[in-house]
Amino acid sequence: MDVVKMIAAGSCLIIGMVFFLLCTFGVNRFKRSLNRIHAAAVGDTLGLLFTMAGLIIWRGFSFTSLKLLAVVVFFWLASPVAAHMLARLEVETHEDLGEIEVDRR
Amino acid sequence: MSRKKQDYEHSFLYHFRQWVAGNVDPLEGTMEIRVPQKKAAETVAPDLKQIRTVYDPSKNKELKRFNRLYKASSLLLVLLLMGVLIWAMGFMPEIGAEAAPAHNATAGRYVEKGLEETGAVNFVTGMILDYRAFDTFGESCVLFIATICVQILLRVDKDSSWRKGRKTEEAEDSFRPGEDVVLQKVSTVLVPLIFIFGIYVILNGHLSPGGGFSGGAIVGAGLILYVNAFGFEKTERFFTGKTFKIITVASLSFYALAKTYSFYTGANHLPTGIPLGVPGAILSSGLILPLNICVGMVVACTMYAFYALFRKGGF
Amino acid sequence: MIKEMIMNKWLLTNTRLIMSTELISKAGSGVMAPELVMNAILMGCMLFLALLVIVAVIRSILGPGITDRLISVNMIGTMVIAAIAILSIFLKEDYLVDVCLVYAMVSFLTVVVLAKVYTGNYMKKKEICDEDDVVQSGLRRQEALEVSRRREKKKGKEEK
Repeated sequence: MDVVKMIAAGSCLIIGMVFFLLCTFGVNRFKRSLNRIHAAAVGDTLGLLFTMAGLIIWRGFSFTSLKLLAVVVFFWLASPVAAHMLARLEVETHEDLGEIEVDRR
Repeated sequence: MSRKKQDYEHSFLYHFRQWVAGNVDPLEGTMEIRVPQKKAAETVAPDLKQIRTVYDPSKNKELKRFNRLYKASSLLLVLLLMGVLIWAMGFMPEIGAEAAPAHNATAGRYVEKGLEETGAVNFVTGMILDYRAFDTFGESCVLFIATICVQILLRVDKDSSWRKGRKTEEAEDSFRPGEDVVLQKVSTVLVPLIFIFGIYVILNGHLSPGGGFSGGAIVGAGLILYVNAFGFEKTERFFTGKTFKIITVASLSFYALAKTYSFYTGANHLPTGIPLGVPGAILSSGLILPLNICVGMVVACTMYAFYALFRKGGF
Repeated sequence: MIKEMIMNKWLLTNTRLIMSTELISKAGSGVMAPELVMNAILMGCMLFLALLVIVAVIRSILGPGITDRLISVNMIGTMVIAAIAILSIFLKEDYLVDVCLVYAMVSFLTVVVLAKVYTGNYMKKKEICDEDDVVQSGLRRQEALEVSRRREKKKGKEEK
């Protein structure tokens, strides 16, 4: 039983790490800020979800794992808003966005 | 029938009142005051070309050299500081070493008798709000004083035209939350959750890590998020300068009174009469819970007041 | 008593560290207790996250605009949250999860407040620049008007 738990938790953790790697790579690879927001949001949602899922599987169900779940729920609510604010900041302060068409209202 | 005083305007009382009100300068006419005559300011047209050449590092060799020296010396300074700090780390006693200066009688007594004397499961809260409550009182007073100092520094005369223009236009233009529906909708969900978490941390200060300072900071952060989403008009319905003064002064004076009582009885070996309760229950450990609530309220108010003061220049 | 407590704690954490490092060194020798393997995985994840944080810090220093910097700072926040959560499981200290929650809230608030403040300041500066332009163009127009008036006066004199 422990071995199954270990394999599930470990694979979840490693998938989460892969997502974090992807998000760091994307932020360094893309050239425009709006693209970078897209890359960073991957780590905020999927990376944190898989990491926390692995930890919850390993820890078993308790008050601590409930708190870990609360972190994920909070991030899933907050991270899109943060990305939205960043995109808004970029659009409002950057005059020259290239060929991207922006509906300024 | 009251007797009317005919020459009231020449009486001492009238002059005194005028002087108190600041309408009359009592030294006027009695002192010789020479106002220096203003000279017509000689305006020199700045030579833009010269200024540009002076501040252009590609043309000014001295500036270029200075810039290089500046960068090199700052790098050297940082490296030197890092080296000194790392070298000093080598002299730190090992974790758990017997000879460490932190392991004295005081720490031992806190660990051994802390639970028994304060009733708090969390030693740190028992320490800062019971053994060293006077210190914490000073800390929360510092927060209050800092807010008042910022208010004094940012004070602007009420009738100055700058403030009038600023208050009406700026409050509507650049501080308006805008039509940001996303942030508003999400903050209606998140702000209550943040408040609940903050209150949980404050109320469980004597049971789990946290306490007044961290819980108050969380509640203040929730308030700041609310302001960012909905603007100052909505928060001013329940939080103004008056509310800030009432809450902080009330909680600080309650803290002072409670701790005075406990110090008085403690110094005279009198029984306090406050039950310590069962360790681990919410209603336990005597005065620590109300003191935690006081500190939390002061910290939350200070967080919000700083934000409002620096953002808007008053609240 | 306090010394004993601290010593016990220190030994507990250190043995865990020692065990995981020993495990890495003799991975092939048939020691496959699940807890030890998991400890090694947790340790490796934390080290990996630390590496990624360094990369993100470099991005935040290099980032050309304020948005890039904010994005990478937000990313650092996420990674630190993951690292704290892993650490709380690794050390079996449940209170570190509370730190996680607070950190998540603060990193979200940072982005919101900084974006709002920067946008407000930018708009104000832009308005001031526009006002300056308006004032200067007005001055220029007045000068032009005065010059034309003078010319008209001169013309009138000459005609007389």
